[in-house]
This record gives sequence, C-alpha cells and structure tokens, in this order.
Amino acid sequence: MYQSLVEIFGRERVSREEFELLCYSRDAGSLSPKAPEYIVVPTSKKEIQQLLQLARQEKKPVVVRGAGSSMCGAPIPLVDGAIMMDLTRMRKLIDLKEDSMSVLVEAGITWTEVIDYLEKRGWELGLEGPWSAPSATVGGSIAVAAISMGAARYGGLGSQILGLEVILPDGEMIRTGAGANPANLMVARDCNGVDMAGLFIGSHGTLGILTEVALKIYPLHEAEDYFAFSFLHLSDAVEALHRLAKYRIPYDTRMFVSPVPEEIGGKVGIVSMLKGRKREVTELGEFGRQLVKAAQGKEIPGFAKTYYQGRFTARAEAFGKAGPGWLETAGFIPIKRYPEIAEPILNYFAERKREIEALGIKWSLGGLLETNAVNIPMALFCNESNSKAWEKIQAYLWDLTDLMFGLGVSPYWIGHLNPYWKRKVGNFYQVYEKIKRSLDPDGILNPGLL
Amino acid sequence: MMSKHRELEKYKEEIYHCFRCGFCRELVLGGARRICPIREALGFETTYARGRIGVARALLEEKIDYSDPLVERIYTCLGCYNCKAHCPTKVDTPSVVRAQREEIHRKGLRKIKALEEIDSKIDRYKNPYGLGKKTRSQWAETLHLPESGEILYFAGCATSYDRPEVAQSMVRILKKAGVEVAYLGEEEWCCGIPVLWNGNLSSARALMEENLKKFKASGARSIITSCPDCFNALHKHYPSVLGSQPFKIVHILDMLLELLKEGKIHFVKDLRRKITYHDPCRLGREAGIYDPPREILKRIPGVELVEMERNREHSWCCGGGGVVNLVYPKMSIQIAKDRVQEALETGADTLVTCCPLCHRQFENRLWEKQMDVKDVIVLAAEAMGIEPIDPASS
Repeated sequence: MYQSLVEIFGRERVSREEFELLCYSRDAGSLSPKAPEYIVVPTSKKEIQQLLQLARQEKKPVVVRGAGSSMCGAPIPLVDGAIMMDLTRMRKLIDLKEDSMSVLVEAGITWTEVIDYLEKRGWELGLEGPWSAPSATVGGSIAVAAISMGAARYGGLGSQILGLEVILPDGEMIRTGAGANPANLMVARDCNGVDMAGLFIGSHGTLGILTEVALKIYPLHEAEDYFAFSFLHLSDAVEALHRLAKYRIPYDTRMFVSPVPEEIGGKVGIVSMLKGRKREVTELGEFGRQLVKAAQGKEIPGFAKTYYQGRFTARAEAFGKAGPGWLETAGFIPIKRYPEIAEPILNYFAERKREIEALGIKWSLGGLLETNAVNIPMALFCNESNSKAWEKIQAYLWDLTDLMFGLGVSPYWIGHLNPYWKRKVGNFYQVYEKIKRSLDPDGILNPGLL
Repeated sequence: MMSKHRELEKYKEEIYHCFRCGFCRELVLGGARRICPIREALGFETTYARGRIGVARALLEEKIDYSDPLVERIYTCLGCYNCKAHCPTKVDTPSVVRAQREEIHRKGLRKIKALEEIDSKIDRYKNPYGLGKKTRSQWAETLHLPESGEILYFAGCATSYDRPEVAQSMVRILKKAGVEVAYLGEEEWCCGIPVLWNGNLSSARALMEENLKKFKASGARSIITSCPDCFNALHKHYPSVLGSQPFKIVHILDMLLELLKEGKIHFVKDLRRKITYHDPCRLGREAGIYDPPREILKRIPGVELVEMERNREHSWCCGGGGVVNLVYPKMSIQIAKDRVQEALETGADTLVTCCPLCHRQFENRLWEKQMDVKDVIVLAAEAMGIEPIDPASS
C-alpha cells in the first residue's frame, strides 16, 4: 500500500510515521481518536481520483481532512487502517467573477484568505466561516455545515453556496447546480431538478470529496455598527433576540448566558454587528436598539465593537487558556424555546458547582442567532493533563447531549455524536444510508460515521 | 510521576496550552500572509507549530519516543517565532523545540553530520566557522580598541568573520559620537547561539561562562551588540542559563537612534536609494525591535523606505535560523529566495537588514543578483560620510 501511495503522491507527500499519524488523530476537540494508517497530501484532483481507485481496490477507508479545527471529530478516523487525505494544499483562489458576483475557490483554502482577497478588490463574502475561520478550510466547514459569522442575516452555509465540485467515491467528478452544464458557470444552486449540493453540505466526507466551491459575493459594506446589551432575565434577552431576528436587524448576533463578559455584566448579554450601506446601518441601528431596549435591555457602550473587531481570534483568546481539553455539543432550537433548554443545563452545572471548581473545569453556554432559529453551543473545557477533569468533562458531555437532544435540539454537525444521534432520528438515517450505499458501495469514505 | 523527558517537562504547561486552533498553519489575517516557512515547504502537521506541540505532548505522555525521522523533523524548525507571534494563547513553540533538541543531544540521538561539525569547530576554535582567532579580530586592527572599558562591544562570530564592515562601521560611528568601546579581540568567543539551537547545551554553557568571565574582567557595565543572535544570547539566554547578570545589554540600533535624536551624530550624504527593510526574526519577533531600524533609515537623506507585504511581526524568515541553514541548506535557500522575491516586488533597489545571517542568506548567489543587500549600520556610516576601510588594510 505504501509503495502504491508513493507512486501517486511521491515520497514527500506520503507519511506513515507514527508521530505524524498521532498528530492527525485529533481535531480541536474530539473524543476517542483513532490514528490513521497513512497520511497523503494531494495537490491535484487527478491524485484524489487515483487514490479513490486504489482505496476501492484495496478496500481501505479514506478520511478527508481540512484544517482539523472542528470540535466534532469529523476529520478523525472512526475505524482502523484509514488513509487520511490532508486537503490543505489544494487552496487556490481560482476565479473572482465580478459579473456573476461569485468567487470560485479550491476547497482547501481558508476563510480569511478568501475574505482578505475579496476585501482588497471591494467585495466580501456573506458568511465569514466558523470561529476558526483563520485556519478552517472552506471545504471542511461545508462538510460539517459549520455555523458561521453572519448567520443572523444569511442563515446556514448552504445559503451562500452557488455550486460544488465533488469527486465521488468511484472517482467520477461532478459539478452541482448551474455548473453541471459545461457551457455554464456555477452561478445558481437550484438547477437541473434535485439540489445536489445540499446532499454534500454536512455530509462529513461520507458521500464525496469537495474539491471546488463557488460562493456568493457582495459589494464590500460601507458602514458598520455594533451594540451590546445587558439583561437581568434570560426571558428578556430571548425576547430581544426574537425581535432582532423578526425584523432582520443584525448581520451577526451572539448571546452570552455563561459566562457573561465582565464588560457587559448582568445575567445575560447580547452583542450584535450590523453592516451594509450607511443609511441602512443607521436605520437598522436605531430600530434595533429600540427593539432591545423595549425588551428591558440595558445598552453597554464600547464592548461590542471591540468584540467583533477581534472576531476571528476572540473565541480562541477567550477560551484558549481554559483548555486545551475542549468538548462541545451544539444545535438548533426555535428562538423562544431557548430558556427551556438553557435552564436545565444551568441547573446541571449548579448541582455540580463544587466538583467543577475543584477540578478547574470551565464551561460556557451561549446562543448564536441563525435567521429564524438559535444555535445553542454548550462547551466544556479543562486542562487535559488533569486526567480526572478530562474524564469528568467527557461524562458531562454525554449527560448534556442527552439532555439537549432529548429536549428537541438538532445538531448541525454530528461527528462523534453520530452513532448516538442516529438512534434518535430513525428513518432519516435509513435514507442517508441508502444514498451512501448507492454512491459508495464499497464504503470507503469515512466509514465509521454511518 | 516525572516524565523521562526532563527538558520537555519544563515546558509542560506551555505544551498543554495549545488549543489546536491551527492558526499557526497558514494564517492570512491582518498583515499575516502564511505563518511557517517550513510547513509551506514540507506540508504535514508536524512541520508547523500545532503538530510540533502535538509531538512534544505525545513524548511527554510517552505515546511515542524519538526515532531518526522524528529527530530529523525536529531539526526542521527555524525558530522564527512567527507561530508564537500569531498564537492566540502565545505558545512558545521554538522554546519547546529547543528543549527537544537538548534532550536529543543529551541522549546521543542526534546523527546529523553538519551539527557534529559545528560542535567540533566550536569546541576547537570557539566559533562555528572553524577559523582562527587572528582572523576573528582582523576587522579591528586599524581601530586600536582597548580591551577594557565601561562599554564593551561584543562583535560575535558572524559579524567578525562574515561582515567585518558592519563592526568597523559601528565602531567608527560611535567614535564620531564620542563613545569609546572596548573589544575583547581574539579572546571573544562564540556567544553560544549555534550550539544552543543545535541542542548542545553543555557547549553553550561553557561558552557563556567563559565569555562572562571576560566581560567581568573587562570592567564592562554595558555590552553593545550589532548581531541580533548575540543580542538575544546575552539579553535572554545568558540569564536563563546562568542566572541574572550585572550588565546592561544594548542593541546598537537602539543606541544609534538615541544618538541621532540627541544630535550627537548626523547624516550628511544623500544615498539615493529605494530601500526595503527585512526584520530579522531574532531582532523583531524575538526582541521586539521594529521601529529603530526604520526610524534610522527614514532619517537618511535620499532614502525612500518601502515595506514588503509581510513586515514587522508578520515578517517572513530568511530561512537561515535554528540551524536549518546547516541541516537543510537547499530548503533554507529556497525560503531566502521567496523573501528576496517579496523584496523585489516592492520595487526597491536595496534590501536592508541588520543580521549577518539574513545578509548571508540574501547574498547567496544561487539566484541572479537583482538588488543590493546592505546592513543598516553600514548605510548609516555611509550617510555620515564615513568612508569604508580598505579591506587590504585590515
């Protein structure tokens, strides 16, 4: 196998060194990692196709990895003997099409590289990628349907995708949407009948390998505004969140339930970023503030601007030293149902306060507005050199996952949660498995996930 | 239970602070345009900070042990500090790598010929070039410097053997300002940096101890350096290895700027150059000296200073650090070539730095020479009307 891989990739882009395999067996979070057997670093689609052909012949699992900055374990093998494909060298910005207001990129490019390129040319993306946008790849984020900066205005990643180029397990390469027509570009997603791009968004590398992505672009915004509000009651904050969503005010909105940044204070905090044309931002800012004040919010000047200007590094800076052991469960719920989920979580932590403090465990609970829903991320942190704390937060994770999903939360990424989640949603996964078997009859792509 | 990796154990907290966010991989944000020259050259997780920290952790947790390929990988780090500068939790990966190298050397696992040669040259000649004592001090022959005094100039090996014009210019600038410096001459030994980075801590310690004895005997209260590596050695590593020292360590660029501001030296000559300045990693990211070279250059008549796309804390390494130039010369030169290309893209006619190692990397004739490479100090002397010393006379 090693020799065959070397024939495809050359010796310098294949590794089977134990130290290398071990470093590819983690993402930013991840439970129960398994090390891959080989790492390969493709630089062309042809190499990917050759690898898939070899994997099919040899019945070897293939796991695709972008930046490995997720918390869900998606880029970590769940079975032994996998070949891991590191796609970060396929990172070209292929084409900026100002006429069709789109940008075509290789899947291994990072979000901030695309943002930087567009900004210099007077354009911007709708969604700016996940918390780890400076390292996360566009393809990796799509593969796990990552919630992104700007979700309050634009919703999920799918809303910004005009087309995908995908290599299927049999090596065939397809383009979804308008780009399926060789005489057209990837300028529209809903074409040719079925929305095939949707099949691959959030598919965790189980159905195909994303190689190119066409994204919508917009003229660079003229103005920004920011506000932060403090609340004494969670119900008031949720009401404010709902009003902001209803009137489509913010570009991005986050809610802090625990911890609430000291600068905001109170029991719950909300920060929002607004952007657009000058007049639009002024109007939305005034209206948004009125709406939140009417929901008993107290405006805290200054903080939101600082928070959002450092948005690409804020999360890592805020929680970096609390970790690096980091486990997270997250998912969507209708905005007004947020307290029903949050309160039992807060009670769960209150009951364990002494244990949590003794072990130096940190945790956070918040909310990210995504158009008409709210994402509820619950994160646990500890120093992994403290094995007791590390074991404990793994136990907490499963308790809280059970609690959240039992109350109706739906996860957007599944990763290591999948075997657990599969039991909950029944026939959804039976259909998913049928699609998987049809596209990947040998079960080579990320096989442990389904 | 204490890990068998005692050097790494000192950095345990550092190692467990890595958040695995991967911002050290290829960040393009603010002024950063990629982070790790080695990762760009080789790919793979363990060629940049997140993977290097992952390896350190796996060693500490005894999941792996040193193997020949791992030792080779550990010697690919340039120690350029670009990862630390852009790390949200400021994990000091270069120091972790240095600790690994110390351990590798102590355990006798380092089988890299180029590094054995450095050890042997330093052991025998007290410099990494294997050149004689007399050659070391040749640059100072016509300058008649005393061996003792309150202010001592520590020239270092690279400046003494490779860039004598820098040492000469520096001393003559100071003379014009009325500052007399002492110099140890043939008795000056290597500062210890090459062996510190190749993992031979005992050799580094011996050099440090010997130099310290001589500093004390010279009556020095301040030590001036022009080489960024020597500056960091004296300023950071001597206290860390030998404890705090009673000397003020000064980099010449800080001092030159002060002298200019005080009106003790003046630029009189129009140099008519379009200059781009390369921040040496050791002076910039490691020592935090970014403004003095720029302020000095801007004060020179006829100088237009243009910045490379990656400058200050985002600067791209010359490829010569961390003994990578000795172990992987081809890769090292390719990195230098990339940096020269970036300099050419500014439209400058002169690439200026203030590090003898960077200077050597950029002067390398493996590519067609398309721009002058100069040292800040040499340009400053020229602008002051100080004529270079004829090499034949020294």
